Amino acid sequence: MTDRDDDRYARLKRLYDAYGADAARWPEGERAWAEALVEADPQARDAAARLDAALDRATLAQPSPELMARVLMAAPVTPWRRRLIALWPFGPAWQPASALTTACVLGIVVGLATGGAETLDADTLGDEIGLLALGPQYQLEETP
Amino acid sequence: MTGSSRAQSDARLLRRVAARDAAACRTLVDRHLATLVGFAQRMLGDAAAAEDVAQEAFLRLWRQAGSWRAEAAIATWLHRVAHNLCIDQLRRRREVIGGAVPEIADPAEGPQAAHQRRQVAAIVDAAIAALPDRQRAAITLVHHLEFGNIAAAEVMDITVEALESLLARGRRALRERLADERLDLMGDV
Repeated sequence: MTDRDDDRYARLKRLYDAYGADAARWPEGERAWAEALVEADPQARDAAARLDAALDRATLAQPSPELMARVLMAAPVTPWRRRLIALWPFGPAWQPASALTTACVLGIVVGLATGGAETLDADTLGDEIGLLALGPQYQLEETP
Repeated sequence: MTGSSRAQSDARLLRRVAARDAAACRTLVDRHLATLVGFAQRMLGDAAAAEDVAQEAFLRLWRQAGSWRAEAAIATWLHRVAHNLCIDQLRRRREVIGGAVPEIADPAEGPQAAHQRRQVAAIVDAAIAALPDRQRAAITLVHHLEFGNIAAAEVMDITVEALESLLARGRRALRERLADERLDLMGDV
């Protein structure tokens, strides 16, 4: 083993100590040679990987929708855009607007295509509800 | 998207922000607000204070949009502002209470900790919260927010060597603390 190898093994140990076992977190210029040596010290690698796994279980806070709105309201946008953001801070306003329009158009088309809704008289409706609530028992009770 | 292409894309978006492009503002917020809040919350242990820090960082970015010089990546710049604001707040807190560091709320004490997975997360969160500020910042930036070593060092205004030292000391302290906690749910740490 050369002095250079010794230096590299020592450096690999320091990479595990500082950055963990995932080479994606190592300094970009050192990844290629270091990855070629990972089998040299499996104990150090496994210990670093276990700590990485523990760190992955930590939680990171998420911003509230109110914060998103506050930040966007302060952005250098035109006044009418600011009013739009105040109304709908969750994303581009065309999304809810187009969803609402589509729902309205569909409702009208379906309504026109199917004609007027059939209406049930009060007795039939009562029977339907009775059947749903009591099942066959309802019919037995109704039968004289 | 790689780090450098993301940085270039961010710089283009900021030019559009300067031209009052609302979509560009939203894209930048979508890209960076969550990591800023996560970072600040980790540093301060206080959700409301973390949101204030993230908001202030963005307000400063909006103000800079017209005169932005692309010397730093926007993500690095935002997190550097947030880091400095957090350090100022932590320093003020220590001055107010005469030198003692206020303990960041231990998530293990909450009712949600009943669930096993959440219990482990709470133990890890508490172990990270107990680290010294700079070690906590270094580990959060490199491990959780996946900043490269150079960018993380820039955020903290230290050398890469100093960053590595903070990371190594922080990870060693975490390993010891988590081993003490007997994290048998996840195997030995």
